[in-house]
Amino acid sequence: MAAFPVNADYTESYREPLLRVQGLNKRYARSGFWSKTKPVQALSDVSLEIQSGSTTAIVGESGSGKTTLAMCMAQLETPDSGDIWLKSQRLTGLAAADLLPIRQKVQLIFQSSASALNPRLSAIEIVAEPLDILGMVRRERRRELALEYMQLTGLTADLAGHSPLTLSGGQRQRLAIARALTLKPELLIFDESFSGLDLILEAQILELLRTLKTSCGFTYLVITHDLSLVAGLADYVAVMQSGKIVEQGLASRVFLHAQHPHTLALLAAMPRWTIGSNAGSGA
Amino acid sequence: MNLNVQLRTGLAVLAVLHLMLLFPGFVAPYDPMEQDRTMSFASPTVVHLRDQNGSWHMRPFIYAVAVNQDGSYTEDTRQKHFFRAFPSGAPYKLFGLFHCTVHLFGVDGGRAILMGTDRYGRDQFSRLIYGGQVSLFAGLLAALLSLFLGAFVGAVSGFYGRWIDDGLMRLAELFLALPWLYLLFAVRAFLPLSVPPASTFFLVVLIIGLVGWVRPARLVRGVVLSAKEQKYVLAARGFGASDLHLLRRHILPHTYSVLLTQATLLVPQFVLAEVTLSFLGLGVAEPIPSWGNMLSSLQQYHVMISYWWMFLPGIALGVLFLNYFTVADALQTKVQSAST
Amino acid sequence: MRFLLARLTRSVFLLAGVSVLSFLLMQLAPGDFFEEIKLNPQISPQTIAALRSQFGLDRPLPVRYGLWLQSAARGDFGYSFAYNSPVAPLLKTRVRNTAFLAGVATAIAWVLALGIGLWSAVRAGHWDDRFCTGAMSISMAVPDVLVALALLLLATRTGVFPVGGMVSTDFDDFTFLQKAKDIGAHLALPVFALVFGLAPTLARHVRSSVAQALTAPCVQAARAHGIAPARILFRHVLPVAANPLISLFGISLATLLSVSLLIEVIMSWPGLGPFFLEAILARDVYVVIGTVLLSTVFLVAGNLIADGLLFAADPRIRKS
Repeated sequence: MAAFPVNADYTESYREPLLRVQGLNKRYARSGFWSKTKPVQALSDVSLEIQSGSTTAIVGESGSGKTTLAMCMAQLETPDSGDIWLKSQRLTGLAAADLLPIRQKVQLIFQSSASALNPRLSAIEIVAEPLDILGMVRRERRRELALEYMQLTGLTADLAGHSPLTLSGGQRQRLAIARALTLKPELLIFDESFSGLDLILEAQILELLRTLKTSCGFTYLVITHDLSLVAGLADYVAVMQSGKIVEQGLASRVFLHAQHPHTLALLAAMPRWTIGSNAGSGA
Repeated sequence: MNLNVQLRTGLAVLAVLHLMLLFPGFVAPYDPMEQDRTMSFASPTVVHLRDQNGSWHMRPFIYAVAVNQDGSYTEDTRQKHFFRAFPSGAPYKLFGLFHCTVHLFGVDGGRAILMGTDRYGRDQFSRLIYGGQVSLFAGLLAALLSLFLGAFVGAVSGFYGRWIDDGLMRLAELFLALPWLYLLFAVRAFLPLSVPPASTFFLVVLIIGLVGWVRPARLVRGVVLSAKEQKYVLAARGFGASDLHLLRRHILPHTYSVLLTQATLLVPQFVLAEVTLSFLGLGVAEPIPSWGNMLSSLQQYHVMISYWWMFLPGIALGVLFLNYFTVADALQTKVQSAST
Repeated sequence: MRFLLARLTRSVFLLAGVSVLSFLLMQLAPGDFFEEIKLNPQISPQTIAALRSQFGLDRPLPVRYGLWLQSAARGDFGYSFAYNSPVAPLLKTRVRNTAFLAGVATAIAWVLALGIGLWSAVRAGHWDDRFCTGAMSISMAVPDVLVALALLLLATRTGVFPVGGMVSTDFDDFTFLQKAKDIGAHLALPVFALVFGLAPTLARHVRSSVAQALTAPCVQAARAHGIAPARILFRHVLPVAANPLISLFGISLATLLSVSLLIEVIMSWPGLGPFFLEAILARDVYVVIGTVLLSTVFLVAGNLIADGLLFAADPRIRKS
């Protein structure tokens, strides 16, 4: 298959992308002198653009490299080679101190909210932590601000003192989102954040995301293996397999006119349900 | 036994023991160094409530002790000495700073030697209290040193990983490979044998503490390694948190329970190490009392078979250990059930 | 196989490291100790001169270390000034005595520990388990100093057992059987003291390992299959529980020389302990270093054997 040039069928007027990755490579070598396992090529010449204000989805199966890509974008991992640009600023090769203001602009929401939140801290402490670290706001103001963000994501004020252990899965995800919002990011990356939620909760969180997007103008990157989620949410889709992007473009095109065999396989595996008929693939 | 009951009783007894050892001057009725060569190896004086006429008294009392021709001791029932609470007695320094003369209890006239005397006629009960202070403090300080050192090494090793971790863990293995009791003795051997008594205490603490850092280090390293992998640590990195912030806020709090259980295990071990060293003449030196050097007189045949009260510091040790182990057990079970 | 090789190389490095440490420690002793010996009229100036050149005291540090290492490798551990003889033969008898005492005591302690620990774990919660656990806790709290002294007191009061030492004064005149009996009688109390100190901790570990193994899924499955309890115990539970216990056994082997130090001193058993202590008090440097090195060798060897046993016993380690 020929390599897809970025945005081959992008019909809107060209705007500068918010985030751009070019030719990313990452290999995980298993450490250990006596180890027998082979190194894993997590990313293989990956190039992608995220348009400002859009919702992009990256789909693929486990091990396809989606999470590694997300981590590289959020500056939580460094790629072996390739470049990352945020607007017109080159991120790769920046010193840690210069990277600090950049970090705020791109935030990652993890899959498991339970492990992403320190169980020994209370909800409000968790949300206020980025403010503490960056010291942007006066100390007295931090808790107020944290409370505001909590309420923005739909959490009530009485939950402030609770440990995340006593919160439900949906509330934890909201908390994680509230925490990310305190940094006023431009790009929010959701790494399989909806996998652990039941459908009703998922719908609620998605509603929250839509509201936030309309009111604050965030750009979203959603990593998922669930194509049905993508269908209702994404403007752009990129499909990954074994560390490579095999197909990307407008969501409508990818869904209706998929070309790569892997995409077709994923689409075929999507369960399609019609009320009254037997469950299973094939409508 | 119910876990909480076990924990509470153990802690209560330990608290009493430790308090006694914070205020040795107050609890002990006499000066531990005060000698009375006429009363060498006197057996403990019996406390009476009822005199030989059969009448009961409100306050407990003792009879005066008469020294016989052959050197044995008998009670002189003609003279009674009554106990008194909070009397004014031999001066001592509270915490080494304030001059005090008030003691917990005392006897009007006469001398109540509750645990007998040693060769020099020194009150063994007072020496037990003061000696306990020395032995217990040695154990506590050494444990603190070990824990601190171990926690530091473990945290650095676990957090920074790679070659720092490798190097430090090889060093740890080296220390583990050395038989620590022998190492203790050997190190002690190569330092000047005749060291002023006050310095022997710190010497002992230093050696014991320096040798024992390995196990806390390994445990802390394990905790740090697993805490480091938590997503919330990664998330905090995403906010731009510094290493120090990560350690302080997210990683180190996990080590506290481990360190606490380690403390309850290390303290008795180190107290025993000090006692062993002092028993063999390599630790705290005379005339400063320590439970170790108090027991060493038992190595003499005639002392061992005739003067049973000289065994009492050993029993005190046993009581101390029993309670430490009880608390350690209960804590470990609690920590285990909390983490599952 | 790789596992064992890794362990072996590590042990070699460990020994090297310890030898360096011991050597450096030796250098700490203030002053040239040969000065002290010169004052000792028993040692001839020729001996001193010979020792001086052998250990090259006027040569730089690394050279000295090399020479010392060479001698040590040949089995020449230096010279004891207190005994006026080379260290190695002195160590040999002492090590033999200590290993004998500690070996017997360790074996008995393990048998007891396995029995009590197993029984306790199987009967967990019942009165006999609680009694055992309680007894173990109390016996663990009693310091060995007290045990040894109390036993000596008992010996003198009752006269059943000899008070200290390894052999009676007319040992050389005994027949073989009498000799065996004599040593046995002298052995009894030190062994009892040692076992009293070792067994409770071991029993606790056995108990907790077995208790944990009893809850393992493979054991539950065996129970569900209706296999007889005794068979489950020996074929399913023990192998699972064995892993930490084998490591523990390795530690028992490793500390064979050092565990009985105090008991030997108190009960006058002519082993490594009293010898070491005397050497310390007499500043007999080479004896001290030689003893530390020897105990370390035992320790490392013991751990290596334990690793080997683990390798043989646990298929998971073989696989990795």
